[in-house]
Amino acid sequence: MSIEENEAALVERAKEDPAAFGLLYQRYVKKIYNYVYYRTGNHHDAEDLTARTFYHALSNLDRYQNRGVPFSAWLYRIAHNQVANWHRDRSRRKVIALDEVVVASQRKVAPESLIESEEERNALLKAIRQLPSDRQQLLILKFTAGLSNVEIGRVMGRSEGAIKSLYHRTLLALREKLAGEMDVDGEKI
Amino acid sequence: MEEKMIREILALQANDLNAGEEDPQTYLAMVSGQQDELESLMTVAARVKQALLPVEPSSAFVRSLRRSLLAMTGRKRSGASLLAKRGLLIGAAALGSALSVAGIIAYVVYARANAGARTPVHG
Repeated sequence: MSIEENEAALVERAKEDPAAFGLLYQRYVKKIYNYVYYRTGNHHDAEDLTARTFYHALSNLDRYQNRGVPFSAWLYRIAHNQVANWHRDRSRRKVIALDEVVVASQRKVAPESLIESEEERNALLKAIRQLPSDRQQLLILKFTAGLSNVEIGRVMGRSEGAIKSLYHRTLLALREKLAGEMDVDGEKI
Repeated sequence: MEEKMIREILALQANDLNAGEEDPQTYLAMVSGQQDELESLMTVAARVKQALLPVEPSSAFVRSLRRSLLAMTGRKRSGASLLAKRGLLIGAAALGSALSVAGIIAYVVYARANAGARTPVHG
């Protein structure tokens, strides 16, 4: 029996058995949290949206049927919708992410080598967050969740070829963004 | 053609990055004219992989959300069983009412049939 078949059986059991839902939760909570964290950029909202994702999944589990969309892909789609709503609400009011403030204050006391490396990472994360939503989603699913192109395609409702193509375009755009920052700062970030 | 090759190589490199295996030279040897282009994109990909480090949610959050979800499943189940019980009661009441009506009708039919049979024949 494959992992997907096992999971399908577990999901069916979870519709009646809270312990089975508990197992699904344990399996996915960190993955969903990571996805949401890198889409929002702070732990507070990551916790809030992760919780909302699982509440929504539990409330709608009876209606879930695996029609070519495995449970994990369904869960990521819910998380993606929660993030999209969050961005919509946030665009109406300007909010400074708390973690950005924390990172900024930590920089003042960290050793110089760490500062450079952390600054570089923050600049790259900032560039990633400026990409269109689908490109951010692709990079996070690929590198944080470690999903294959086929799996990412199931989450995003696209073919494997389309995902490969989007990934290529995303790297091109990111390279351009980073080169732009290099021009502004006069050195490579 | 070369662009399609680059796309395929970038997909393979991403798998390698996720597996913690890096061998850019092998891939660079696969393209003839666009080695610089491929190399710079592979470098961007490697940096993205390094930037998107996995983060850990706090264990207190994970535990508290689990408790809350399990409590919610409990409420869902008791709500469902309450609905099922209510449905059963309504069904039983409806069946009882239907049987009562059927009994009354049967009695009326029976009484009329008996009354007809007892009517004396005149003349």
